[in-house]
Amino acid sequence: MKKPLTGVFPSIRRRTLGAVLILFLVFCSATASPRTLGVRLSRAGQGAALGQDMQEAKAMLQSAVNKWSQESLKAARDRFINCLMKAKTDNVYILYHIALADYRLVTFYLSSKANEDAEKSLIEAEKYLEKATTLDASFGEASALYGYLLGFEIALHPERAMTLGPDSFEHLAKGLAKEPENPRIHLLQGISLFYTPHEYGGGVDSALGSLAKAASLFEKEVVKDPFKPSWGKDEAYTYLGVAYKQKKEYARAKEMFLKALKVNPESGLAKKELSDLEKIDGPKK
Amino acid sequence: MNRAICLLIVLAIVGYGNAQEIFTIEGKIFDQETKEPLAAYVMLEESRTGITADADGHFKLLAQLPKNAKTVRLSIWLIGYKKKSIEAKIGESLLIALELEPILAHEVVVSADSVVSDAKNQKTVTLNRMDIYTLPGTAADPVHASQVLPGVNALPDTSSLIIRGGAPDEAAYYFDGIEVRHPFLSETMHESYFSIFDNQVVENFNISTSGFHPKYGDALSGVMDIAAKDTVAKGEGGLGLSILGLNSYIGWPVTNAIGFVGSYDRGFSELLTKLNSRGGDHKFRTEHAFGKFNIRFNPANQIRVYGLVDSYIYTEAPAFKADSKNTLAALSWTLTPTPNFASKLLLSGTRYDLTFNIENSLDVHQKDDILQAKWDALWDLGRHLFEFGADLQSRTKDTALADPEPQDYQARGTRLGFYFNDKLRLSDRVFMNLGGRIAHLDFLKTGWSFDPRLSLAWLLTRSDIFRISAGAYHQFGDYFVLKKYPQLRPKNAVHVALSYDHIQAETELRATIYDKEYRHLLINLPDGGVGDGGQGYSRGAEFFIKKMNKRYDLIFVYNFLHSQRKENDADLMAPSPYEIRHSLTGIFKWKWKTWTLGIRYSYATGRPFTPLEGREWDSQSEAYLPVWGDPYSERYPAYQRMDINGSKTLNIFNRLVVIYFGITNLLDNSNILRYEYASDYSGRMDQQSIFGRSLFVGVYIPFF
Repeated sequence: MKKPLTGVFPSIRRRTLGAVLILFLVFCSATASPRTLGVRLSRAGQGAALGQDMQEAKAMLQSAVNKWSQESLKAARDRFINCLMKAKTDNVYILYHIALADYRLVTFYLSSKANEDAEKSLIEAEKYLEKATTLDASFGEASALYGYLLGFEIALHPERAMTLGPDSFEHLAKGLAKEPENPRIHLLQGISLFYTPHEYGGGVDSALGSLAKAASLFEKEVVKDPFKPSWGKDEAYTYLGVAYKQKKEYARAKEMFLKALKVNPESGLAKKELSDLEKIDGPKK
Repeated sequence: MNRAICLLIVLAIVGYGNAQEIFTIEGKIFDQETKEPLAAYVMLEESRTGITADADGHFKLLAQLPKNAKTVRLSIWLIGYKKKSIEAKIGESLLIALELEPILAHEVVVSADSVVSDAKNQKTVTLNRMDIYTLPGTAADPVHASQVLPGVNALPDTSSLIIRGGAPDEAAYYFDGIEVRHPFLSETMHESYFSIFDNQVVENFNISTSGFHPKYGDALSGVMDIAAKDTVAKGEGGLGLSILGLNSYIGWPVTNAIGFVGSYDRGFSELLTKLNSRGGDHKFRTEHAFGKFNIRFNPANQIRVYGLVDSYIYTEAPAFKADSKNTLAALSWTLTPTPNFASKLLLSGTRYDLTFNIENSLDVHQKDDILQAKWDALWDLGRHLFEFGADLQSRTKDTALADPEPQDYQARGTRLGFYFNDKLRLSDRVFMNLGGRIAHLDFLKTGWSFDPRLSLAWLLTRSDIFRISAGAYHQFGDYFVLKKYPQLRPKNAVHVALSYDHIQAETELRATIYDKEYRHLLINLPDGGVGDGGQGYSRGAEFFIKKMNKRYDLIFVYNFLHSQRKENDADLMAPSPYEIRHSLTGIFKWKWKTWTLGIRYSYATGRPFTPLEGREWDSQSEAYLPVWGDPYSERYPAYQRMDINGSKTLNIFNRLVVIYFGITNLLDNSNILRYEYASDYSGRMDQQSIFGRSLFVGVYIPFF
């Protein structure tokens, strides 16, 4: 008696399940926008090959930051765009990483006093982040990076400081509200506060709180998804060192630079800061 | 190093073994519309590798391809542009034009003539929140600041918004989503002065002069929507001291999940009156407090609790006293279960209390209590953005006269409204809003009103937008009148507006023409009753230009208006009492290091009024009665005013202290608000604006 039933019902169940699945997919495609599906797909990852490409692009960007070379930064950026073109749908994390590469280029150009190039890269970065946050409103880190970049816009257009300043903090706050445990948002906030004049609410003491929080959160962070951002741990320690150096707490500053170099032995910024510190602090020893 | 000569070696594996050759593929990428070069990314599909073109749009790829290859497939992409795939002939110098990517529907304000503050992507005429502080003559008040926008006018020197000839009570005011029926600090029988919205907590504001969203109802002319600050990243705030009193503000992230924004102000008029050339025997006290908590359970689930108290006490020697108080309390719950769906439930209560007292002759107490429940939802499907919701409002108005004879009038009503709107992208450049609203007032016998609304925005180029809107609007009007005549149909208006915007980084320009047709306006009947057979129209044109750069800001606005109405006592079509035929405002603000200096000039044609032609003795009442001329057949003198202001920022003890000053009505023009007549109509007196030449100075010290 049971045999025919088990023979019939599983097949019915399979068919029913299949029908339900098809209906579900039809429903999804009818109700969900390409955008939401895009987000879902991006969340699920876009295949091992693309994941591998992303890992390589991230490594290229980190290496370019370490070397602080314009051509390497551009090459890393190209690599992320290549990933974006290979992905079938817009992936918010790839968009974010292109903006991240643009942000590095902005700082490179500003340090070389190439303001026109800095502005171009800044506009590009903002566009990518606007797209990423439009596709996924819960992506707090993109919102925070956007706020951080508005701070650079003030450097290029001081006359807009009155409106850009509050906007910058607001986007950082929104980012933090969405992802309160994201170490990179605390890092960006810390760097932003470090460079904000005390009379506008910034300063080294305000920055230290955010940077210390960032460092403690980085210690707990494990990023397995190759698409997700994973940068910044060495920079949290480097900027902690820079902040302590400003407070003339040289021993703690050195400790932080060494921690940064332990995380990323090739960090150009940490090496330079450590070497500068040794020039200041050296004679006392 | 020029990127045009930066070569990328591509190894194409296409199955021809070693029968391959290296080819050069080069070209230039540019914007299809502007022909500007674009640094887009070019990818060779055969190998899935690519390169970004240089700043001049040039690119050069080296590709290893089969010897007999004639073409290659390229994909070209740049953020903000449509991705393009082309089949390119090897050996030809390529010219590749990219077309702008469709802009998401909600990034463009489609309604014909909204003027929105501080929105980077909104591609419309803007005033940002700092303009409230820094424009001369705005008294740091968002409602005053909005009077420099096209389509917005005011009675001389008062706060009420007159939108394209509509009466002040035809505009609706919203504060953080709550409909506020009494938005002014001082609300007398004739004028209102200063809003209850504290500029320190204003996040942004939005004025719609027609074509407004279906979520707004019960307003015939326009809408002002003000949003309060919500989230702050770190502590901010400060203390301001001026000749008017003190103001203070604090924004504080209490924890990661809880944020607070609040303000407290106190005002005293004595010093201000002394520095005003009009002087006067009046004085006032103001007190204002606002607080808002934002509690985030998680990013998709937030509760906001907020409240506002505003008190105003006015006394005028020898025997007049007015005392008004506005109280508002609200709770809202925002839920975003998926990234593309959000809903907000808002429960609020507002109370307005007003007492007028003229010793031994008049003692009036008015109360207006409103309870509201609103639900708004937003569902974003990319091409379509659906917005829908409902609002329920229960309102009780109470007017008690204690003197000369005790009388009490009460009117209560419940209004229910539903709306739906679809903001959709018809093509890459054409966006549409299609929606409607139905509303109903429980004690009226006229059923539901229906307001269809449609607007289109057409992006001619990336900086030129053409907009058209058409819609119907209903307003129920005064509850006391409606209670007595429940068969009256709601007042009705149909708006049609066309506008053209040219928006670039430093320059914003708008030109608009519009027509508003009014029906069912209330009219006083010969038998003493009230009918709904009134009608009217407003037709006009507006021009606005704003130019901002490092050294100066320039704003110029001109409004032309022709409006007639058959309404209230005017039993024939006559000029609308709020028809300000020509009005213009020019503002120039100069910026130099830590200094700013602004100058503003405003001119407006006088409003129409009904002249007094004589008087007749009435033996029955033993008093003179007025003999009025044709309704609104004469005009008050034109209004003129010049203001200057300035500020200087100083660094004192690591605090950015701002010192500011303003001189209102520099030329001491006598602007006439209205005429008042002696009780026997033997003569008339000018009622001048309270703003003579007056000086205002203050200082702002940040807490952090």
